[in-house]
Formats: sequence, structure tokens, C-alpha cells
Amino acid sequence: MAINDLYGDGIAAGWKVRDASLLTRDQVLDADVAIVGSGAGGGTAAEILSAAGLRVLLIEEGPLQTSRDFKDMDETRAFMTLYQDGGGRSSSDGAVQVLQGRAVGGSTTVNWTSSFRTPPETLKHWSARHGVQDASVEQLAPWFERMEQRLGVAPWGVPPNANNGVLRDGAQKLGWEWHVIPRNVRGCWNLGYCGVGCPTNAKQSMLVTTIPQALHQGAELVHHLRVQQIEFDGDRVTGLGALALRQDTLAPSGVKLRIRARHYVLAGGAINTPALLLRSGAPNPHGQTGARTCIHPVVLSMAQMPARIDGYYGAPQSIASDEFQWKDGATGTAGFKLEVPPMLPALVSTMFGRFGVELRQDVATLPHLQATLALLRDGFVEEAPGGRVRVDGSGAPLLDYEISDYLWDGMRNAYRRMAELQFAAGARRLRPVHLDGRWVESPAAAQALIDELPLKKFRTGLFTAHLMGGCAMGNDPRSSVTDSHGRHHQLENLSVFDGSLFPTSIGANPQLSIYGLVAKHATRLAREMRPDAVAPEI
Amino acid sequence: MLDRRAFLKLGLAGSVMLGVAGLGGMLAGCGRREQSAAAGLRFLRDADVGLFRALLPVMLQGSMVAGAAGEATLLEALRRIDEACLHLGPPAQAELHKLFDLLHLGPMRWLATGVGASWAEAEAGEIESFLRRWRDSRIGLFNAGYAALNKLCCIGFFGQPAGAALTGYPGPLAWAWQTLNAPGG
Repeated sequence: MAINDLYGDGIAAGWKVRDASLLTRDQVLDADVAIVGSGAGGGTAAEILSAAGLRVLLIEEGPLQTSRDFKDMDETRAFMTLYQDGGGRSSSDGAVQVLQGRAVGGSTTVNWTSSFRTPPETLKHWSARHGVQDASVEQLAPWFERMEQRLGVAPWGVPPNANNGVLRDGAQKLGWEWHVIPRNVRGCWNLGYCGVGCPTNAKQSMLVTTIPQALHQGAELVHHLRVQQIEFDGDRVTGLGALALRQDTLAPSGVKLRIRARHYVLAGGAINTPALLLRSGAPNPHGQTGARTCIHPVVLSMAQMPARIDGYYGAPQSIASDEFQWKDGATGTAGFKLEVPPMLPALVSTMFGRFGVELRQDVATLPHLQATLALLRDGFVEEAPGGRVRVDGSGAPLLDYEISDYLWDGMRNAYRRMAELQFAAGARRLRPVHLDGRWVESPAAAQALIDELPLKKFRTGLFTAHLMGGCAMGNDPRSSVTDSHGRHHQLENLSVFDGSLFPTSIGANPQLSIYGLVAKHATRLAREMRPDAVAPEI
Repeated sequence: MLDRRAFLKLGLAGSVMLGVAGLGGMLAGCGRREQSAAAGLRFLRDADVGLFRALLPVMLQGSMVAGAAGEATLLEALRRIDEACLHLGPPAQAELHKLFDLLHLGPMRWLATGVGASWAEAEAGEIESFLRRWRDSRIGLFNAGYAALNKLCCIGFFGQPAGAALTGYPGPLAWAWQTLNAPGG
């Protein structure tokens, strides 16, 4: 069955899509609004601003890869073409592996489709502790609803795959809260390859929804283009300096572009956006740029089940549990959400930390292997303030992230609860993803092992796929980078429209939080720039 | 001359060890930047290739066919490791440079790994002890070095279809693959 090639057809019909790697001469590009980054924030903003009649220029550092490129469903190809640093991005000390997209569509091209509204507890905390205005549950509800409709978000109506089934069965047995995850898909084939680029265009990522619509509305997309510098004059941005990248996206080609616009939107995600501001020497009077970058640090537990799990097949995330998320309120002990990851072989092989014959035996469990993950809520208390993004001498981004006892305690608790859950669901044996992890065959042995685990960097298997904060919004410039509408406090024609706006982590997979918030902010910006073209606020 | 125990304590002080390795590299007149990649590769130098040629058969003992019969798989693993390193950001690449430099300098290698001979001459048993020591060390830097080498070897091998098959992974669902990859699809 032929999958519609959106971009081939669109470009043939006159879409303005440029591959900067093919440019041979320096040039200047003009627009009403220049958007840096084409992920959840940039895609959403591009559609809304172009619908208002504004000339939008959408800039992406990564390549344009479409369903045609995803038909092999191959893990390594995906890491090398669609992820930051080929999937090898990490915190500055290498202790936390960072999975983040880098392609047209950003992380939405490779995420696992989980689409949650921002939890009410989080929004209340932002309002009470971080001076965020106009972001109450009621004020955001229409924006979430709009984006849910736009992206086909609905609770997954198909039975979960066995990997998610273990989470449901364990939670049910223990009387824990669990729920079906809403996913942004239309006509999903239930294949399991969301993380390597959806080969059927079913995932309603920015790649197949808002960006094509923006292009249809006259927006221009330039990929293979890295914005290196923001230029200022007083309190206004006057332009962007950008470097065309070679076809492999690994280095500049030598061609330079300058971008001029009336308004600039930063949407490169919660590492690259603060890094761009820092690299450019943007006003930062209170040192908030790059501060409090949250990551939902993830720990995992792997279990060998009696029946085949085939965790590489089927919708990767369809069940979640919030049993331990808000137990002591937003600022109590470290809360976490329980979910599962897809079980692709190369990534799983790196989680045992073993070598030789032992590794050989461990990886051979894959068909029966279930993994549960806990993503911890960071940024809600002073003991877990998040990390900090900085840039090195060459301007490359670095994320410093320290883990306090508060988070380590949360992780130990998470290991315990995951073990409890996996045994309740019938696990034969399990092991925490930790260098001191080993197979244990009983709940008592698991608890004894977990009690003794040295929770330290480099021994604990730590991951993140959720980058949040670093350009926090809020009404007080002393503690935030933008106002409550994403407008930079010191630069009047600059907005931040991505996950770096969040003053804390979300406490759930963040994509819908970005969509909803950015839809609201971008609509406000469109109204400011084109008062006649945009309806009054909903 | 520091004995090994004292040296390991020194390592506790942070990245001193890797810093020393970098310095050693410069003193020896073989700063990494002056050296070019091995033939057919873009990141790994000849010495790094030698390191991975020694490491891969130990890290993947029982998985990867050893000797001449496994040469094609080993070359493909090297190519994939090279590509993974090439994609890293400049700061992570600099850390890898330091790690590799440490492992190439005779005295440093002996102090940090216990492997005295060059990688080409090292016995499998020596390499196993080194990997175990770094994995089980209480010094985070050694754990980090082990994790980096382990990850690179794993993705170099288990990312290959033949490696993935050893895990029991059947590959993408056949009906879907055929439907999506049919001529004209």
C-alpha cells in the first residue's frame, strides 16, 4: 500500500521548502516571523501565524525526513538521522542519556505519542510559586481541546501490547491507579515504530500536520540550517546569523545566511533555545537563562515474563500509572509516573551494562522482556531545582544536571514499586537497570537488592526524553526569562515558544503541554501582529 | 612514581586522570588533533581501531563470531561505532578523545587498566579483568569509561540485523514491512 508522500506532492504543488545544504551562496532571507526550530512549539506556531496571513520562515537544523525514509523501521538509521547527537546526547558529565529529536518535526517525529494535558497540580504550582498568569486549568482547557482535535488525540482504543499489559495487570492487582494513554494518531497500524519515524503517517506529529498546513498557507521551511547567533540593537532583535549545514548535517557547509524578520520565535527545545540565547550574549540580568532545566529523570526495571512480550511491536505507550505521582502533593516526596518504553534491540542491549557471555544470555531474553520506567518529577522543590544549560567556548550546548538525595530517594522508591508491580504481574525474575543490578527471582530478593543499590551517577542507568525549562515564563523578570505569554522580558520582538518555557517539569509526557501553551501564545502574537485577521480571544 | 592505589585515589579528585592523559598525549607529541582518521573512517584513528578490534571480541564474546569468519561483522561494527562518535557534539567528542588517549598511552594504560601490552597483543583475560575493574570500580570516572565503551560496542553489533537477530528480535512485522516496501509503495 502506497503511503501518501506529503512533501513530494506538496513541493510539486509549490510549497516553499529549501534544503540549505544545496545553497552555494550567502544570502539574506526576509519574513514577518522567523521561527527557530520545527518541533512541537515551532510547528504549532508556524501553522497559527501563517493562518493569520503572516509570512512565516520556519528554520530547522536537522534534515527533512519523511515516511519514505522510515519504511525500514530501523533503529540505527533513526538514531543517526533523527536524534540529537545521533542519540548519544547526554548531560555534560555523561551520566544521563538524552533522547531528543533533531529533524523537521523535532522530537514529535520520534516521540512515542503520549499526549497528556498539563496536570492541574502543576498549573497550580506555577501560578502559586512561579508567578505564571493566565495558565489555569480553565484558561488552558480550550487550547488543549483545540490541539487534541487538531492532532487526533484520543485514549488508545486498541488493547495494549503485552509490554503495556504488564503495567496494567500489575497495577490492577495491587489496586494502583492506572489509565489508558491518549495518543496523537489517526489510522494507526499499531506497529510499534513511533520512535524511529512513523512509516505510515499515522502519528500526528508536526511533520505531517501543522508544518504541511503552514506550507500550504505560504510559510517557508528551510532545513539543514543552524541558527548560530541572535543579533540585537538595544531591546530589539535585528536579525539571526545562520550556518547552512552539509548534507550529513554534521558540519557547516560554509554558506552563511542572515535572517531578518519583524518578530523572532525560539523553538529549538529546552537545551538548544537557552544555549542560543547564551551563545548570543542575550540580555540575562538575573542569570535565569538556562537555569532550572528539568528532565524527568528516568530509571527502569526489566522483568522476564513467562509469556512472550514482543515489546518491540505495538503502540509503545498505551498504559500509565500515576499512583505515586502526587501522593504527598506537588512539593512532597519525589513523585513519578510509571510507563513502559518500546523494546528495540540495540537500545535494550545497552541497558544490561554487562559484557561477554553474560551479555549474550541477557540480550537473549528480549522476546520475554518487559521494561517499566519511572519518570520523576523535578523542579518542584528546592532540593530538585533542575539542571543548568550553558555553552562551551565554541558555543556548543552543555547540560549540567546534579541529582540530590531527594531525587535518589525517589528513584529508590521507584525501583521498589516497579519490582512490586512486575512481580504482581507474574514476572519470573527482574533486574533494575543499574550497574549493580542482577537478576532476582523473588519480591524479597528484589527489595533486598534495591535497598543496597548504590544510587550514584554512572552506576545508575539514567535517561531522559523530556527536556523542559531553561527559559521559564513568569511575571517576575528576576525569576523568569519570558513573561506569561512567552515574550522575552528584555527583548521586545522575541518570543520563546517551546518546552523551555516551563518553570518546572510537567509530571507527564510534555508534548501536549507544549502544543496547548504555544497555541495560546502564538494566537496572541498573531493578534498583536495582525489585529484584523485574528478572532478575539476564546 | 605513584603506585596504582595512590593513582586511583588521585582519580577520585575529578577529571584529573583524564586531564593527565591529555597532557601526556601532548608531551608525547601525539596530540589527537594532529592525527587523522583511519582509512575509510572519519573519527576513529588507527590506534582507536586497534583498541576496538581488541575490545569487541571480548565485550561480545559468545555473540560475535571471532576470527576471520567474523571479520565482516567486525568491520561493520567499527563503521557503526565511527558513525556514532561522529554524530556526538564537540564536548562529548572531546571526552571520548581523552578516554581513547588514556587507553593508548602505555604507562597510563597500565596504571588505569592493568593492561601492559598494546591492545593488539593483550590477552582476552587481561581485557576482561580491565572491563570488570572499570565496571565494578567505586570511581565514577571508570564506570563512565566502561559505560561509553560498552554502549559503543553494543550499538555497533546489536544494531546490525545479524546482531539484533541474536536477541530473538524477529525484525519489523513481516506483513507491514512487505506492504510498506512493495514496489511503488
